[in-house]
Amino acid sequence: MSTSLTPELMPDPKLPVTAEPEVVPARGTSPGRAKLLAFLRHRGTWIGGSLLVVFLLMAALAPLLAPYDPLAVNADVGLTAPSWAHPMGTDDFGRDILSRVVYGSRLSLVVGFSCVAISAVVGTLIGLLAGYFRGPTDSVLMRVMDVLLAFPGLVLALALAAVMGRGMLSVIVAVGVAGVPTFARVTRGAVLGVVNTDYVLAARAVGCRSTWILRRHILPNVVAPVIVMTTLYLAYAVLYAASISFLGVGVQPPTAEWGAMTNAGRGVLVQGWWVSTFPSVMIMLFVLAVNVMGDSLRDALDSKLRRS
Amino acid sequence: MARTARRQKPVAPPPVQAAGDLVTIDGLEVAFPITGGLLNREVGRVHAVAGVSLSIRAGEILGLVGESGCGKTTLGRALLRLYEPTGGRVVFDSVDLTTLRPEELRRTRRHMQMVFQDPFSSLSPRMTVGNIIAEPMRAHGGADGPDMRARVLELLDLVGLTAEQAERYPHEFSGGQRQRIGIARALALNPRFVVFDEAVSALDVSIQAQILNLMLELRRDLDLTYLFISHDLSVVRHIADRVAVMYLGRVVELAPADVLFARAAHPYTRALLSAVPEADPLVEKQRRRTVLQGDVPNPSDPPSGCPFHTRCPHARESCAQAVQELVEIDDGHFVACHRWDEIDTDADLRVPAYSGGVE
Repeated sequence: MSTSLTPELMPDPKLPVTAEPEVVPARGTSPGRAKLLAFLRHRGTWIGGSLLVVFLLMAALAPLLAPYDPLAVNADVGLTAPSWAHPMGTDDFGRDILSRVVYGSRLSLVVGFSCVAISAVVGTLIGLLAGYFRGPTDSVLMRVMDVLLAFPGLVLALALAAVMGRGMLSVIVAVGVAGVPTFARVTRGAVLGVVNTDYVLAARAVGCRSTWILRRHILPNVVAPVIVMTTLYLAYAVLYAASISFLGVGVQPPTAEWGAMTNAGRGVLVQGWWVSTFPSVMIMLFVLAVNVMGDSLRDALDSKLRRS
Repeated sequence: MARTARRQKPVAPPPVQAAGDLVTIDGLEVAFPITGGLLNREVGRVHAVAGVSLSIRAGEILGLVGESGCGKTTLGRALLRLYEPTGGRVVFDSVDLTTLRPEELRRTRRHMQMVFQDPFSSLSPRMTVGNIIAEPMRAHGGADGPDMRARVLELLDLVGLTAEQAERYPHEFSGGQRQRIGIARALALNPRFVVFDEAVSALDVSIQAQILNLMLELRRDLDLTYLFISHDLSVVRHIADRVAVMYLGRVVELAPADVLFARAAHPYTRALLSAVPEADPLVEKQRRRTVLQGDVPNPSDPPSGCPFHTRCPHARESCAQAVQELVEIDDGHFVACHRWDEIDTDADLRVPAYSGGVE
């Protein structure tokens, strides 16, 4: 191929230079829309998202997917290795692991999403108030958060669950509360970055009320980090809930729950590796899916956190 | 606790305003605490505004000039109580703003507005231009509907933007257009007083001229009063009726614009004027330039006496002893200098005229 341009590719100097017609969009493009597009274009969204959809379907269609009753005890097939009849094997009571894993997804997802809902709503509210009003409000709220933060999340959740008694509800509340300080800190930090901007000052100058400023100017600017935190904490919440059940404080047998199932298989790990392995693989896959999607959300929403 | 404290406060005497004054600033002080140490204790204070008394007449444009950090912006913001003053009073149309409760203050804000320096950070990136301009009306109880929509379009038209731009977002506009949006927002509630805080400093000279002309037009048509804060003397000369010069949180000179630019009496003002760049080399040759020595003193540790004595070419030992308040040396010409009458004010400063104002 020759390096010089052929004559017909050269621009004709006699042609009039037409001005580029200005493209006027009918509606302006909002920054939120651009971010949504960036999120949908991200590879991680598709990988993590499709895995997540599989988990959601599994939870929703559990009765259709599970080949056996997750609680049915069958002494004849106690602790059998994976086979065509029991693709993930059976536990020492002869319960089908696959069916228990499928049903367990319901509990794990409900627990995970409820925990995150508690943490995100309460934490964001505290962070907003502390960051916007500063002063004594800030000091009191954040010192309380510091106290909560001083305990490792799992220890705090364990202690709360132990105090409130065993059961799913206490796991939800415990893991939910354990996540509040993280959300409060992240939100407060984001609020501090916004509260001194000129447009918040401008809103005050025109006479907007504090509630209006918080809702219309501050909240939209802090949702991005909160959404990112939500996905990351969703993974933690499922993991924490499973850990609590694993340690025996949370969901009680015979209920199928991934953490509790992992714990149950601990004793027979040598004779039957499959009892613990499949539920823990599920935990890992779920955490992975949520994290991958959280990363792509963060890339799309929060350009400051991007690590190209 | 705060409520009882307010109740026990002695009733302030009714605000006194001279006829024709819209805004009266009386001994206004704004100090910011410097905190440090383990418990965030206050270890010092920065007196950004250290006792300013001024009045702004209804219908005039008062220019406020000074170097960066002299307290111009703080004064402008404290005037609207966006910063809480630590002393003194601001009276707006016979209402003492400094004693208003938050809700009363919020309602009073509709009469006094502000246009900010940075046209990029002063508009919320997440709101359409129409919503930005409608926000002041919503904040003061305006209902959404055809009336508000019409008012937004009217305002857009007033500042030279088109109706279809109401649906766009700020990032789709240029700096000058954004500043027009900021002005439209400030005018949405039909205010009587607008503070322009370095409103044209971030713009190109040609755009500056357009915005300045727009401001002058709006004042004429809408009967407005402006406080025009700037560090650009030639712009202030172009637009202001009277000019106040600030140095280290104090007003050192106040005069009608033509008087100030012809016969500035304060050594600081004279130094500022002589620093205005001149494009014509022939004129430049004839100018006498005063170059100030040193930097602006630290406002957390201001010098004793006249704040300018550390850099003043005319300073005597006595200047460090006492603060000189503003004195009227001519009709409407105030100077805060111990030695103003000993300084040769006839020396021609030849301040170049503003060259950007293409009408």
